[in-house]
Amino acid sequence: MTDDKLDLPQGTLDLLILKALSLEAMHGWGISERIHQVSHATLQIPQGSLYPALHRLERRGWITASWGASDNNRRAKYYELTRTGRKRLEAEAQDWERLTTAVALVLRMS
Amino acid sequence: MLSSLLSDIRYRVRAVFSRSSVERELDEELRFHIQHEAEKYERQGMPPEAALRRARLQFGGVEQMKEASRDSRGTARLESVLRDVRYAIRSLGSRPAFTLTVIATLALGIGANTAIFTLVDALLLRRLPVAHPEQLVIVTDPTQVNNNNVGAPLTAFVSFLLYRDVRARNTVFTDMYANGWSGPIDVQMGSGPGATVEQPHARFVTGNFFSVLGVPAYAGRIFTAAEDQTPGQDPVAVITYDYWQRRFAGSRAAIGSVMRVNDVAVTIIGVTPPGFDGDIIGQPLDFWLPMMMDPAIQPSMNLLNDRTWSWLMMMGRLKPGVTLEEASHQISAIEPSSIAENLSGRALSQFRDGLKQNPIEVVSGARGFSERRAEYATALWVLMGAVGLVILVVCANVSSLMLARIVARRREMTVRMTLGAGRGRLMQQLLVEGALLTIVSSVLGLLAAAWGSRVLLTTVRGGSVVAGPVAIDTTLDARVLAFTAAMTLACVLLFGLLPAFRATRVDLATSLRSQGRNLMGATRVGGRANIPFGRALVVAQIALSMLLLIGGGLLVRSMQQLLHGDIGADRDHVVAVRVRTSRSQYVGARLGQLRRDLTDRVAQIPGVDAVAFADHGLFSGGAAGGRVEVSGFVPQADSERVVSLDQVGPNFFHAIGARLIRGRDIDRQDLETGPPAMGAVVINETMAKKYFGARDPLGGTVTLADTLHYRIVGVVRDFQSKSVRGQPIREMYVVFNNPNTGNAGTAKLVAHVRGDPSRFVGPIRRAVETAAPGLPVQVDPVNDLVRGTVSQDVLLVQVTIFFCIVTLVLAALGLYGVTAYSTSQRTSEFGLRAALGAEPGRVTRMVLGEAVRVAIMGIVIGAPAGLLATRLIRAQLFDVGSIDVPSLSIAIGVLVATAILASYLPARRAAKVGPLEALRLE
Repeated sequence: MTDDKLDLPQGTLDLLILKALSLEAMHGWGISERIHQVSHATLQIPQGSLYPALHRLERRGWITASWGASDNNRRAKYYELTRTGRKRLEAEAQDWERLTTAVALVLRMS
Repeated sequence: MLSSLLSDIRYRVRAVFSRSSVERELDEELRFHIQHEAEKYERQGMPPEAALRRARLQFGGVEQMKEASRDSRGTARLESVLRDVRYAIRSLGSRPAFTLTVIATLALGIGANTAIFTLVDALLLRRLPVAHPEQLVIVTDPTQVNNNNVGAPLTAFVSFLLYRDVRARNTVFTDMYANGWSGPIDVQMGSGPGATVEQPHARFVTGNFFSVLGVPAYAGRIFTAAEDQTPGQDPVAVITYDYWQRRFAGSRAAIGSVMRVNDVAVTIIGVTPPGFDGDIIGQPLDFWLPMMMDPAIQPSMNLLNDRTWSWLMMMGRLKPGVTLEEASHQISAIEPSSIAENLSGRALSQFRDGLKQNPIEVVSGARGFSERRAEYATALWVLMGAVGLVILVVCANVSSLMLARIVARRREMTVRMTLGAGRGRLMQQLLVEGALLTIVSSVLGLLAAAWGSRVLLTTVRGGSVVAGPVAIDTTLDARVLAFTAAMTLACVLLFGLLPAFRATRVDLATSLRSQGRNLMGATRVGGRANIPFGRALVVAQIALSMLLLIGGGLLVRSMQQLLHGDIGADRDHVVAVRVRTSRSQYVGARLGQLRRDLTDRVAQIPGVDAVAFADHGLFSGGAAGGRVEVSGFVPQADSERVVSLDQVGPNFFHAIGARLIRGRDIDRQDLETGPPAMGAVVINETMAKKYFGARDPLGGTVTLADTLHYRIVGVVRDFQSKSVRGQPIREMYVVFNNPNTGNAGTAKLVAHVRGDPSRFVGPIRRAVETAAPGLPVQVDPVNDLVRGTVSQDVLLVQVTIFFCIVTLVLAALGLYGVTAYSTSQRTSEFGLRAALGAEPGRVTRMVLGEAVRVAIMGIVIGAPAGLLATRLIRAQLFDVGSIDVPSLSIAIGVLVATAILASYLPARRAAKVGPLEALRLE
């Protein structure tokens, strides 16, 4: 809603979700909040695509879901990184580093 | 990689099968998210309601998101199909009459087709279950399976020495084997009082039989190369899986056990795999013996060293890269040269002449040998054609039913399309519905087919006592299943989807408007209900039924002729007796004496009019022929000298009930004189006409094989002694006074009896057993033997009758469907008529009249088509004209009756419609 927010480039949502989950298991809202906070409110996950993305990752076996109790004892669905998901995250993070470095190099060209 | 694939599958399976719980979880998850979001805004100081609204707004369309989640589960397509399946089951279940009719129709059609295809496949198409059947090549005539001939060397089936030459000299085969008929054999299992004797089917094969075919042992072992080297050395046998199961209950102990084959102890060494019952299709087989055992098991014959004794069929396996043509070329050169080396003079020139007329044929052996394949092929293809027509009827039926249903659902379609359902969705739904119907029907049809083809074969077996049973593997194999599935799919696509396609192309505006008007009852009254081509389909069905009924009628009439027609002898009152004398003390003069003694013994039985012995007799097997010179006749060609021949005892023609046109029967005095002095001979009418024309044959002479002289004492009306079919041939019956000629292993009698011949089977058997204890005896009414020779005709007729009934039922269903539908559409018209004072009877008559008109149109189209089509089955018919008035009128009567029957119910319902009821319906 605010002006200084960025649209996510194609394909980065999965990476962000995986990264967010690499620290601890979280529910959907928690993931979106975490990304929002960590990015200093720069990245806003389009909420319409968060849940489809979670389902997609679950189908691929990168994350698993289980029901647990959240704060004030409400039932919530927690997502957790699997071993394949963790490997995937490493690979994708490296790719991202290389991509951004390369893009930055090109942009710095004078 | 694998684990991710597994998780993918697990995920999708759960998404599809616990769909509702997955959806519930998604709901809960989203609610949780929105609540948290709202709480966040509340903490920032918003009032609760505004916070919740903001959270919802922020979140966006919940439904779109859910749809996107479903898509990302990767199961959307599958789910929509499953939804359609559920919908189709509900919608079909709500119309049980329609559903059952369609399923019954499709199942009948598919079942009938599959049953016939199973037979066609088993007899005509299937390859031998051996390694690389395409490399196999048959060098002899593939139909000459059970033959044994002494005389000039033959190439249609061959002598053992010729086989050895061909095998040694050819360079086109990796190896070749020979396979010969065993003749009748007795097998004794066990010994002492518990011993049983039976006559299984066996064949003599060369030791390389299994290795050339590439058939391994299922249990035990197959013949080794060493086991077929020395005559009489290796008494071993390999049995078929079926025989192993049937006779030994699949016991391991059977391997290594001993059975006595014609009194020779033979050890069972192995069992062939299930499904392999030899290289001969359509004929049962129990075990194989090494060819070198033949002299021990059939000592009376000299099958291994005699070039004039032809009895083997040969199969070779092509060397890689050698074509059938090359093999044919080489064999056609080797075989005659081997024969020619051992012939000279007139015999050689005769052989060369014969070879010109019947050149050596080398054909593919992939489908094995079969005596019956040729017999059945035409019949089966004709049937296949008939069944193809049946499936057309089925399609027409299902199609008209589907159309009627779609017309009735037009409103539903229109409404759904107005509400935004895509055409693709509607098509998918109709397709799912069609597929569901088809799958259920196919399964039912397959079950019916498996049952049907077995029943068909057993009825044939039950009908014929003597003729070798038809052994055909009728298990449904993958090919049959594929055939059925393909056929079904074609039916559905062609006749189910095309109308569906048309039905979904509705013009929304006009369709709704016209249906609205229809609801008001303003149109339609007096108008014809129009099912698109519904009526035309029924006419086509009736025409097809007519066609089948005409063909079926002719076949039934022909079968009656075969089973009861005149064969020139008194078929209903003659009993045939066969006594096996091989390997007994009865040889030479003693065999002659036995024949006379048995004749006297049987003649004493009360009710027996006349008894005679003969070499071949009536329908009791065996045949002989020879070249003759007839007084006063000058032959133009060698073939004009050939006649068929039997040797008969006194009173023979009296005993078979044949009519002597001139002269007298053979009598007792004739036995006293015979060649080289002048013997007595009776010739048949055809022979008399050929050689004597208008001259009187009595007193003329016939010289057989240049040395045996006979004087003609009588002329007998032609009678059939071997097969009911076929033109009468020149035949003569010489006095049987030399016991050293003719069939040495058997004594045959014919007895003419008063009353039912089956009553005499027991007494005659006892009389023979007292006169000659210990000899195997077979006693059969001749009519049973005759029936045995026409078993394949009976099969054909039974199958055809079955299909005629199926087609009739289908046509009736179709007619019923169309009449019921059109009368229900015209309810308002009938109501109006009733209101205007029409009597119920008139309405009934009107509906019935329409049905009959449809039937007559079908008959008018079908009759000429049927008459044309019967030309195809000309060869199967016996003694029936192409236009057979009784069967034709029965066909027409049956069809009109069917039409009336099928439309009677709807007609009655129409007559009961009152004016008020009609109004209420609208």
